[in-house]
Amino acid sequence: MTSQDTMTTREQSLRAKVRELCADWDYEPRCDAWGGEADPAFSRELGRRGLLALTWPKDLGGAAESNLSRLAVTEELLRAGAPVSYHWAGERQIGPTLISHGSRALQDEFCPRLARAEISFALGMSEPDAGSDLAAVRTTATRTDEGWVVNGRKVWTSGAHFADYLYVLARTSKGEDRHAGLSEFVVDTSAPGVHVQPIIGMDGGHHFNEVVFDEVHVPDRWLIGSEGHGWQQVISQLAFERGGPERFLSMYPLLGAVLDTGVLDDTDRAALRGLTAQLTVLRSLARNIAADLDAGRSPVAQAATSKYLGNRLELAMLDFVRPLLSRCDGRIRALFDAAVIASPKSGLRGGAAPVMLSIVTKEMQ
Amino acid sequence: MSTTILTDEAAQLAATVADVVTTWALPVAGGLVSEAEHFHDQWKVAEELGWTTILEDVDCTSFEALAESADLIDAAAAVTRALAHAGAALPVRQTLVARALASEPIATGPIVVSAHSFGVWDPIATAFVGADGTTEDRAAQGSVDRDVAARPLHRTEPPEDLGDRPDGVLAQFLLVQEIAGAARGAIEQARAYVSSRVQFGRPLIKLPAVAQELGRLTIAQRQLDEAIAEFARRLHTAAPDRIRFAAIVARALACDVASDVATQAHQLHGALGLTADATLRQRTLLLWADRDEGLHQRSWGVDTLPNREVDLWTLSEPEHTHRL
Repeated sequence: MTSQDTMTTREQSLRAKVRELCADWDYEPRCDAWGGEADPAFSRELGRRGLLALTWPKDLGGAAESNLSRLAVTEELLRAGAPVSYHWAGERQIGPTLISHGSRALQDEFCPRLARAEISFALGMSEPDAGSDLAAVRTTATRTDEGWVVNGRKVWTSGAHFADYLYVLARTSKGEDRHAGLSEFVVDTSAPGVHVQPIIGMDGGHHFNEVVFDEVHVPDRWLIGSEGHGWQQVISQLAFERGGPERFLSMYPLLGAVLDTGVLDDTDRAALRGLTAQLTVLRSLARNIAADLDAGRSPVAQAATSKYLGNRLELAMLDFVRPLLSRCDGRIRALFDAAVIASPKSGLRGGAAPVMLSIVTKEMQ
Repeated sequence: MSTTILTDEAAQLAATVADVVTTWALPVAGGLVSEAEHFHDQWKVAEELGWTTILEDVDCTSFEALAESADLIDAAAAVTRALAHAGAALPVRQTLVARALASEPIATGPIVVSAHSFGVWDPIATAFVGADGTTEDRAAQGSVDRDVAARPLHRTEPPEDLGDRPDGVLAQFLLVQEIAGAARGAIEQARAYVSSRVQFGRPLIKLPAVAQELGRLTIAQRQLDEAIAEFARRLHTAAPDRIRFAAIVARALACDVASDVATQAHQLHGALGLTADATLRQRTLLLWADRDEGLHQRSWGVDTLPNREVDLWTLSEPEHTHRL
C-alpha cells in the first residue's frame, strides 16, 4: 500500500488540482509565499476552480467540506511556493470568523466575494503597545447614531496597502477587566480617515503597514458578533491563525529544491534525518488540528505547539541548507537569501515563541 | 497470556501496570539493577501478569502479519511505556521482542533476548532467539558489564543497521515507547519538584524561566508522542517503506527528546535530583541508555530517507486512519 492509497479520494483530488494549477501558472516559487507579493489573478483562479473557502457553507460561496480538505489545498500551495498572499488572511480566518460570529447580513455581504477572491482583507490586531498582548489594544470604537467611529493606530498590518478591507479589533468600553470591552469590526480601507503608511522591511520590501484611523465611520452592520465579546471571538481565531501548515512550510520550497539537486552526501543526509522527523510530526499535528476544528473544538494550545515547533523547523531548514550553498546554483542561493531575510518575521507573526510557550505552560498548570 | 491483557484497551493496561508497580522498591543507586533486592520478585510478577508474553503469538516475519497484530503490539507498547514511566527496571521490552521473534513458544519464566537487545540484559538471559527465530538456551555469563542505566550488558559488535525487517521495526517501536514513558516520568517528577520547592519566597514554578522550560519540555514530549502515534498508525497499514520511514522519524525524535528531557529535568530538579535517594535517575539514566542503543554509526537510517522532494512529501504525509 502506498501513501496515495491511504489518502482519501477527495483530498487526493484536491491536491492534484492544486498541483495542476501551479504547474500551469507562470510564477517563481518562493519561500514565505503567503506573506509575499500578492497575485490577485492566481487567487481568483483558485476561487474559480473551487479551491478556496472549502469549509464554508455552500450558500456563502463555500463547499461545505472539512478542514482536512482545506489542509490538503493549503499544504500543496505552500509546498509549491505559490503566490497566495492576496487571499490568505481573508480565506483563513476572516471568513471563518464572520461565519462563526457575524450576522447573516454581514456574511452575505463579504463571504461570497472572499470565496471568489474578489476582495482582500488585512488583519488589524497589533498596535504599538499591543503586540502579542492583544488585550492592551487602545484603538477605540465609539457608538454614534449611524454606527461607530474608530480612532487609533494599528501596526504590522500585512498587506493593508492592497487590501480592500481591514479586520479591526477595537475597544468599545473600558473597565477593570482588560479582556472585556473589546469588539471586532470590518473597516473599508478606502473610507475617509483611514491612512495606510508603509513599514519598509529589512529587505527593502513593502509587506507591513501602519494604519491610522482618524474619525473613521463604520456602519453598525459591520460590527462582527456581539459588542464587547471581541476577546472571546478573537481567541477562537487563533487556532486558525497559528495551527495551519504555513507555520512550518514557509521555507519548504527551499528544502525541496535543494533535495532535488542531488548534492547531498551521507553526512548531509544524516542531518536531513532530524528535519524530516520534525516535518513529519508537524504535518501530523496539522492534521490533528484540522480534525479538531472539524469536530467543533478550538485547539488553541495545540496550535501554539505547532507554531512553536514550526518556527524551529523553518530555522533548522536554513541551517541545513547553508553549508550546501556552494554546491547549489544561483536559483537556490536566491531562494535561500530571501528565506533568511523572511525568517525573523516567520517567528513573530501570530505571536512570538515565548508567547506560544506561555500558552502551553498555562495549559500545563 | 492473561485474559486481562488480551481484552483490555492499551490505556487501561498501562493504568494497571502503573497500579502494580507504584509500590515497588526501585533499585538502589550504584548497583546492577539485576542484582537489586526485589528484581527477581518483580520479574516474577511481570511474568505472572502476562506482560512478557503479550507478543508470543505475533508473527513478525512480515509487515502484513504485524498489521494483523496491531492490538497486541499496542498492548505491549502500553506495558513498556508504563514500566519506563514508573522507573521500573526489568527486561520486559527485550523479552517481548525476543518472544515475538521466536518461531516456537518459549516456556514462561526465563529472561529472553535477541539481537535487537544489542547486548542489554544478555548476561543474565537464559535464552537467546536468533534472527531465524530459533531459540538457544544460555548459561549465565561470568563477567558482567553494565550500561549507563546499570543494566547488565554484553558488549556486542556494532550492528550494520537497526533492522529493516519487521522484527527490527517492532523492536524500534517498543524502544521509542520506552523512551517516551521515561521522558514523561522525568518531566512529571521535575514538575512536581518545582511546584513544591520554595525558593526566593515562592515555588520555583512561579519563576517564568522555570515555567517556560517545563512548557518547552512538554512540547518536546508532545512531538515525540505524535511521532510514535504516527508510527503506530502506519503499523496498521503494512506498507513497508512508510513504516520504516516512521521508525526513523520516531527514533530520531526520541534521541533528541531523551537527551533534552534527561538533561533539563536534572537542571530543574537541582542538586537534590543527583542524590542516591532521588528517583529521577530511574528515568534519566534509562533515557541516556536507550538514546544510543544500537546506534553506532552517524549515518544510521539514511538509506531510508528520501532522495527527492516528491518522496519526502509522500513519506511525510500522515496516515488518514483514526487518531491514537
